[in-house]
Amino acid sequence: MSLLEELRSLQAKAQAELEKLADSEALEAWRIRYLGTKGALKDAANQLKDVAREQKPAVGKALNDVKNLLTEGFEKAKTVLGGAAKPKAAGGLDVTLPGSAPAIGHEHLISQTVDEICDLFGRMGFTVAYGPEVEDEWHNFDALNTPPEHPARDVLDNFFLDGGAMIRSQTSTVQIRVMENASPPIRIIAPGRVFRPDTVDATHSFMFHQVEGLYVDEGVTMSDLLTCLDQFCKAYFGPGVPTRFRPHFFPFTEPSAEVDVWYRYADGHEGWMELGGCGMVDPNVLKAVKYDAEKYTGFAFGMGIERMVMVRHGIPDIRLLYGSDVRFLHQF
Amino acid sequence: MVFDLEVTSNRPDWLGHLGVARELAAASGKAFRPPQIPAPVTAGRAADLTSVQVLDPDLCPRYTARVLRNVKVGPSPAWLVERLEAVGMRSVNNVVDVTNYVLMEYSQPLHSFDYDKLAEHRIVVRRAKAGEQIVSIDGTRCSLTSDMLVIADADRPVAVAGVMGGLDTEVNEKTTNILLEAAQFSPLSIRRTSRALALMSESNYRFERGIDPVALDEASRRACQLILQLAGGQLAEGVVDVWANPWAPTTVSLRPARCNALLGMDVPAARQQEILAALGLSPRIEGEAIVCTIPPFRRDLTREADLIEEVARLYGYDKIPISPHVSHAVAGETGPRRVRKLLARVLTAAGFDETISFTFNDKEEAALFGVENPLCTDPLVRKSNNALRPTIVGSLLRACKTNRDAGTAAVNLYELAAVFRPGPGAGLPEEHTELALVSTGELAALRGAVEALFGRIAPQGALEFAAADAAGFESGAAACIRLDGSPVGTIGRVSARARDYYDLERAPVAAAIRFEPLLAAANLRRTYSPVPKFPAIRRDLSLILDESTTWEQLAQSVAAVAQPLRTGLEYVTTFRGKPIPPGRKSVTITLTYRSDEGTLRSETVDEQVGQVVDSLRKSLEAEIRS
Repeated sequence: MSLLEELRSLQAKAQAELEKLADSEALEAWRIRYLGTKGALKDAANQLKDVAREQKPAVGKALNDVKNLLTEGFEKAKTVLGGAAKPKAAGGLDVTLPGSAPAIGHEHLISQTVDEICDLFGRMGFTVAYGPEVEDEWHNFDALNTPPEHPARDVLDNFFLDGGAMIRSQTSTVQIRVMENASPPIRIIAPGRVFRPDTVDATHSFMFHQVEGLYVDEGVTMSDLLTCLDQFCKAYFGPGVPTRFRPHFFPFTEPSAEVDVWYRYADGHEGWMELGGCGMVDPNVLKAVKYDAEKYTGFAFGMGIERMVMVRHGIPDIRLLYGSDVRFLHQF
Repeated sequence: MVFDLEVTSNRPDWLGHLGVARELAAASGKAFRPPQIPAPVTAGRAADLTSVQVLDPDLCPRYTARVLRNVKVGPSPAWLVERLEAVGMRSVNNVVDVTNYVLMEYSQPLHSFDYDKLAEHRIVVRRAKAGEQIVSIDGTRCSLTSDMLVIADADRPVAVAGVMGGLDTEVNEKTTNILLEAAQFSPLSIRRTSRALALMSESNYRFERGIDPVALDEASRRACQLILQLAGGQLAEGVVDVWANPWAPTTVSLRPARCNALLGMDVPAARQQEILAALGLSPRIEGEAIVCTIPPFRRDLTREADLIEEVARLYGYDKIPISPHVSHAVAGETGPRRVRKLLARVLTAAGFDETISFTFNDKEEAALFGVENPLCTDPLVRKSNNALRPTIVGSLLRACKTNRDAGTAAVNLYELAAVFRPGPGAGLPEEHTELALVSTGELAALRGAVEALFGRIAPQGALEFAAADAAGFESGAAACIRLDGSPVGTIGRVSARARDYYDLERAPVAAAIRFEPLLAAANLRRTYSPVPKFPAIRRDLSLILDESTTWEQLAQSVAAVAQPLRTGLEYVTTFRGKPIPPGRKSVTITLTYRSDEGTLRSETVDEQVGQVVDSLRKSLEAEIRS
């Protein structure tokens, strides 16, 4: 029998056997018999050197074809019979060896948190909006009802740039950017970086993140605002968690409030945790974007991300968040 | 008992004890009882003893001066010292202490001058002249500019208006006659002067937030009452008062129905009126509205919305109903958010960690990437590390160093953030969103991640990598990334200069990609293309090529052989060394053939592969490695 014929019968036999295999163990034995390093195909390959020179290409090709066919058959059978054979107690696989972990990257904890918050408000119908970080004073202050003499505009409390622009001190700028380009109803949530001069220490940073929300339509009430934030807190911090709204002042909302949520800290103590500011959009803000302030009302809220993240995940120093140490990044 | 209050910037009246007392009275329904100031016995007339000239009424709307003579300056009684200490002030002498006490009581800064040291015993309120100087009470010599308002006598500045008094005219143990100032200054002018001179005080803090222009005279009389009580002497009759536009009360209306509509609860109109009355707003009903007369201590109330807040505040925010349901309008996710999510998913799957680093860099870092004059913040608030980064790559290289120092040599990092450059003229500076990736691994892996990203987000876009030098990257080891022909970024090995700047042993590979074009090209709604019915046939070829032959040349040469059945060309590996002759390399490729008509016969494929080989022999002098 020529090698070519041998190969054909080998193929037929192997394929016939393959059809009848009962389990993955039998499949593994089959693989070793035909495709293994000491298997039948290897034997055939070793005989190739004895084949007449002019026949070599044809036999070589046939060898290759059979090998491809059987390998393909094996892979198919494996999906049916379930992977490689189970290891035996001795001489098999050591299943107690650690797995080789895939190198999967981690999203930054702040991004994860922002995502979660945006998703929660998304369920209440808010869409995510973004705005520029370099801003003019109109969007950062004037349109937000913050006149030139307002203390928040102090040159020492903001990062002004060469040429009069500034990097935004709050994500409220996005409110104006969105309203300038769209008509009510508006229902947006705007996450982003903000900047205020502050010496960096364990709890302060000149750069941090905020999430801003805005809802403007006919008939939006302060009760709607409190309901929306209360729902958020119960979804994010846990069902039944109490919330509290305290009067406060922000130039761009009237009435204004600060939101507190009852929080059980990692060390076991409980108390009110300040979450952010909110209020009914000031009529001057609506006028600044040429909305009819008599027809439309709205609410806005803003919250800082870092403190929420630090409290929730027990992070003692804000600098860890910006340090790029992968030993930190990989924890979340 | 000391309470710490957080005073919001709209309520400067709470910067004094009386303002807080007035609020507590309104909230509790108890009576507000300010100090009683009976008219004192006087000697002489203030108008005969001094004069006040206000040359810049826009910066000083009101200035009053009273004169006290024959006072005995000395230590303050214990009660006064203790009270001042309780609010964080140091006792100086009885006269100065009284002015500080009244400042805390009425939220009205006062200043006492030594009357005899004022040239011609008179006051001129004017802008400083260029070159004028003053030594302030705390001993600082200040150079004044014409933007700054000063209180001057006939000859020279004796105080920086509203910010700090001068040393020359301060009241001390030798003082017997006093001129007492109570004034109103423009908030913005005070703030600018205070910041320019780096002088901060309880006075400028209050002037910046606005003082009660009516009550300032009461504060002045209260201070005189206490000075006479503690330091003796006689008060001259009357006051020299320069007030060009006296306070005129304004009215603001509130519609109770509108109030309830905005709050989303029902506060009876009568209760609304009651609350406004308790706040001293003298409400009266006019048709459907409650009309309030705004007192000078509540200048923050100018619109209906302000009155609605007063009603809500005193009625109680806790009474605003919270519903167990939320009104709902479903909206789809926007493209930018979906693309950002997809980007994070692809890059983390490719083994890249997201980081968030500071937007500020040093100027030198910007220069490493070819931006010599980056956008910088005002050095007044940030002297160094104040350049807004033109690329994120530098920050990620620093992260490589941080991690290496911490014992993590191999990192794959990415960050998606805004980057900046000065704009081309008027208008806002240039800002765009950059995706930066840095890896201590191989360029091929980084490029693979970039390809996977574009392939996932914009699969229809033609992505090319064309060798091109770029600032911050090693010459000859960088490429321009193009999407549909337009440059969208750079990829390559970072320059030796950058490597040394960040103190790295080996230069990592990096990519800086503009996010906006990727967003614009995103295809988030795919259409189905039929899954092949018949299997593809793959053939590996090892080609021996000249060392200088690039993949791009090889790919173009293969592409030049038009074969409709050929569906793919893939790179497998490169091999150098024996038995390949020097100056040559062996490049293995995989060619894929498939037909939609049926399974291809092996012979057909072999013939087509042969055509490719023949063509490559001619175009690239390729040999087949057997």
